[in-house]
Amino acid sequence: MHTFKGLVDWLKQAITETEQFHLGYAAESSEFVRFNHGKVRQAGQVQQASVNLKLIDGGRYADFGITLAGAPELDRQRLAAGLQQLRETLPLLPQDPYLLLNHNAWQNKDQQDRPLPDLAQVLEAISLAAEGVDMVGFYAAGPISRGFASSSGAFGWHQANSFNFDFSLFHANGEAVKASYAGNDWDSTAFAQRFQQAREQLEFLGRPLHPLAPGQYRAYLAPAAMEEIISMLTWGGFSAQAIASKGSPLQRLYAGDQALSPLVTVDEQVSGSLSSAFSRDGYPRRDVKLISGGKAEGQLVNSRSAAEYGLSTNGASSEESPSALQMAAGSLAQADILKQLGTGLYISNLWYLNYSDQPAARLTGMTRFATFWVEDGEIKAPVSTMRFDDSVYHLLGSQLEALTAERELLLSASTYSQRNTSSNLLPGALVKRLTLTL
Amino acid sequence: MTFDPDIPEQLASYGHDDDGTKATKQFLIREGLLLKPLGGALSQYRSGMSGVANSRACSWNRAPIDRMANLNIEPGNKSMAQLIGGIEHGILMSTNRSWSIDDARNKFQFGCEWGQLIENGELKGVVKNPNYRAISAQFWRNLSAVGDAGTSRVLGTPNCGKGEPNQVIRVGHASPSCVFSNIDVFGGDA
Repeated sequence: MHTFKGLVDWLKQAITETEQFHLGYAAESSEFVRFNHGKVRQAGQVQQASVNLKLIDGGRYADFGITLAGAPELDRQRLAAGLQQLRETLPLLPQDPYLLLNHNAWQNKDQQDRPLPDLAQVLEAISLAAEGVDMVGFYAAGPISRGFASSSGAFGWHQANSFNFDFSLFHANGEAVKASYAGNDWDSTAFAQRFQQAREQLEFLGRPLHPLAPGQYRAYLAPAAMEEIISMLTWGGFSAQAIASKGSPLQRLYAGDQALSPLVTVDEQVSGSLSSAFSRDGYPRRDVKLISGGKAEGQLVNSRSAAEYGLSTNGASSEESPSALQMAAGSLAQADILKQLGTGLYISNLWYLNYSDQPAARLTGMTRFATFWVEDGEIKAPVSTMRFDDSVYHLLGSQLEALTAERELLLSASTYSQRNTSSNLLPGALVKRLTLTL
Repeated sequence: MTFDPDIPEQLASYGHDDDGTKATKQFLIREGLLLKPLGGALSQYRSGMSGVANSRACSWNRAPIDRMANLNIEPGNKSMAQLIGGIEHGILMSTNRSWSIDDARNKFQFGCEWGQLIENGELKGVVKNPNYRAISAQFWRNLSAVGDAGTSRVLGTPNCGKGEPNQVIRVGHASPSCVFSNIDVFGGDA
């Protein structure tokens, strides 16, 4: 925070009377360890920090990203050079009709300092758990910081420690179980239990494959499989801009032409999550009810959409995607899942989803990792990799039979450019009919 | 099919990869036979197989790993008119917008924004949201004609993601128009 504050203080005295600025900050110190065959294959540490400077003057704005060196004088010099470049750029730009600035001097600080386990201790725990099994995995851990400051006096700071161990256990026949253990408090007992669950599923994968023909099947989608479906919907589904321009995959839901099951209620629950409580364009983020009882309710609105479509911003990101999504729990007890499924598919994960008909919210994707054929409430055999193609209005609508009472908190394992802080809290879903096509 | 780093306007053209291996054009598949896989110097050492210069990193904060670069289909000898003229009933697929394939790169499905009906060797009306799906080995065995250089386009994507920690890089795909027979084609609900 000290580095960031130093740059903010310098900027405040550097700008002219007509100029305004936004300064965003992102930093992390990450341990990255890859495992093959249960052993460390590659290990490294990445320390990175960057700022994004947005200069505003006369209704025009331009921005500039700078990777910080960690040397205060050098970083100030580079920020000064960036400021000068933006000053030279601004007169060349038209005024931005959708620039909606927040002039409030809001303050928000969230510092989660819970210490992470020592890497050597983690490696020992993983090595012990993985003894005698072919494990492939990836461990990412360390502190993540996000900051925002404006010339109007707004200041936000978010820092959290987290770890995410994403792993697969492979059977000799090439089938695999995927699981993860993530959070901000490493509990050796909980980790050992999580690993043991994966080992138990692995045993079922040794049975001969149950061949499946394309067709319609009763199915249980575990929370990790549900996350794949929900993640597709977060790709513009709740975006005010996408809804207004008819590009949202949920446009029929928001138009009132389609509904989901009354069991489906979805919230963006920023408060208490691992994500920062402020947006990159300088607005505090608010909790939003997105779907209530199967019907569309709120949208994610950033400042540009607010200006363009006459809405109120709720501090959504530039992509207007959820980062702390929660789906309400149902009533199906964990112990009753197989019994209530009866005969059908138990799907632990789905993979590589995409739209086969976006306006109809029709998705295609693959079963992958521990998908089982269940008969009369008992797991009988793994099934071969199958492609599904079905609409969200079926899977979470007319064909949704039950949601589980227990939910799973799934932290993003994404590390594109930087470690992702988004999460999904999801139940499993029992569906009466899932369409397999190939 | 070639690994070709030498096409100046293609997204992943370079003189050497991020391990420092000199990049040269290599045939990966020739006349239907797999000759060599993608794999940089380290993978070649570990596997004992030959490979290409495709060890690439997206930025300073990620280690080089094996990636696609320019992965191209070499032109054949048929003009676009000859390709269309040889089809009694089919769909010209255009403007891809959806892609999905399993981890073994086996069962795939692709969707396009639009296409055109082909009837008795002639292009007819527009079809909306055409999708096609197949199993890779069967699909490529159903390749029945390859267009000439006049049908070839240099394409690719600036944001192909892979690896742990994740990396996003540019990849290039130059390809002529191709004809496949007996493909499962279907549309949307609209």
